[in-house]
Amino acid sequence: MTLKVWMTTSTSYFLQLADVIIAADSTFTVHVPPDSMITVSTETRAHKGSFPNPIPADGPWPIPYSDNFNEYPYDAMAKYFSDQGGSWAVRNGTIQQVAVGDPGNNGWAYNPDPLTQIGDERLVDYSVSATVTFNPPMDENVEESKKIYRRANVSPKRKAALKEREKQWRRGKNLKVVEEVVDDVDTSLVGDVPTNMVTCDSGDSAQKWTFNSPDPGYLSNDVNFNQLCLNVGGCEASSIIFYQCVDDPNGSSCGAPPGHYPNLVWRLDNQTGVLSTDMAPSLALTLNATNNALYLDTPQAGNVLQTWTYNATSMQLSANGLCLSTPPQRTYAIICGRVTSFDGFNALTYPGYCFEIDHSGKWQLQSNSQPIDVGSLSSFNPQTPHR
Amino acid sequence: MAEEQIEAYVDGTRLSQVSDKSYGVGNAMIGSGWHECQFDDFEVNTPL
Repeated sequence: MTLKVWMTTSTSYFLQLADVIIAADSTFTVHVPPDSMITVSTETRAHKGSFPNPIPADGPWPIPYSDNFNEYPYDAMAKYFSDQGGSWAVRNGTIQQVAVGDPGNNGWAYNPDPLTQIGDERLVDYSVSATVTFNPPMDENVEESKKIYRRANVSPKRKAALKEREKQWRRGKNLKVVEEVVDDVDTSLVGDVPTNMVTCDSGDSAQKWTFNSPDPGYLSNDVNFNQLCLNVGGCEASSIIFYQCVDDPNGSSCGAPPGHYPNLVWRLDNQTGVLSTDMAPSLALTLNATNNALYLDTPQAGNVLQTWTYNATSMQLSANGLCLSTPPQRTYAIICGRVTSFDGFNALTYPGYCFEIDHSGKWQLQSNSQPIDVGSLSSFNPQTPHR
Repeated sequence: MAEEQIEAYVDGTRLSQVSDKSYGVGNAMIGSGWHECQFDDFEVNTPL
């Protein structure tokens, strides 16, 4: 067997050299000249690339542009699309988002929501359209996500510890609430959701939270699931909401500057229902009633504070009938135009204009992720025709 | 549509129309939540 050898120096780029032969004892010898970089490969089909000279001048994105995705092999990347989040592939004549279940924080930055971008940042005055199919419905999808979590690898030691915590909860000892026993490192599910837990909305895997009163209290969902954790004191998980670390015992593991977001002590004002932290008084929890997502926000910016109710019996924190939940539990599709500055790290603030529609047919038009005209269409059939 | 007009359609029915000049130019994008979602017959075209 032979290996292909390529050399790159300051004057030549990927210059192919003579093949080297693998000896009977599975060794081979490569001569590396000074100031050179050698590439050894088993790939036999590679050849030196080329490009037109001169390189064609930059030009505008050609519109009209269309793609029915019929001319791709299975799992191919769609031409000209640039993935910013999630996993996109062409399958069976459609471009599909195929990652089910938020992979969670990657340790150094927020993990963008599934998005793929196309076109030219100079595009102006255009229409963008697509046929959209949700598959499968949200509830089934959540179940599928859980199956995937179950297949994930979890260290035996960690799994045993979490199982024990679940047992403690079932016996009503120590732990007040366990929504899902999840590995707080890779969000792997290692235990079933207790069947007698209170759920919030149908189809919504609402987080369950504890509030350790008396004041000062620690708000916690006890486990780190779907990147949402507001806990301090007694919870080992750290978390990020966007770039805002709300629980960072070490002040450095959330991607925020060390010490910038220390442990936060949250206070629930039983008179006003406002949940806030006096260590960062400008921060308060707000809930987007449209997409049921939790946001950290600043009251000074003119936002309306949500009034939160803590039910000690159900150990459930809710606002206006909505429980705390996380953006990844939404089921929706968006089509955006005039996206001018998406950088892969601002996934939840889509710059530009987006049309977002969920599985129930509810929709909204957004600008920079903020609804600019919200309504519902009673005659719209969410089962969008799909070939 | 004029540059400041933003319109949203489903199956040819206009659901919404707003006027906004915040973003005059930019790329197109499709997205979804963390679930399977299929897009087909994608088009970027001149104004409707």
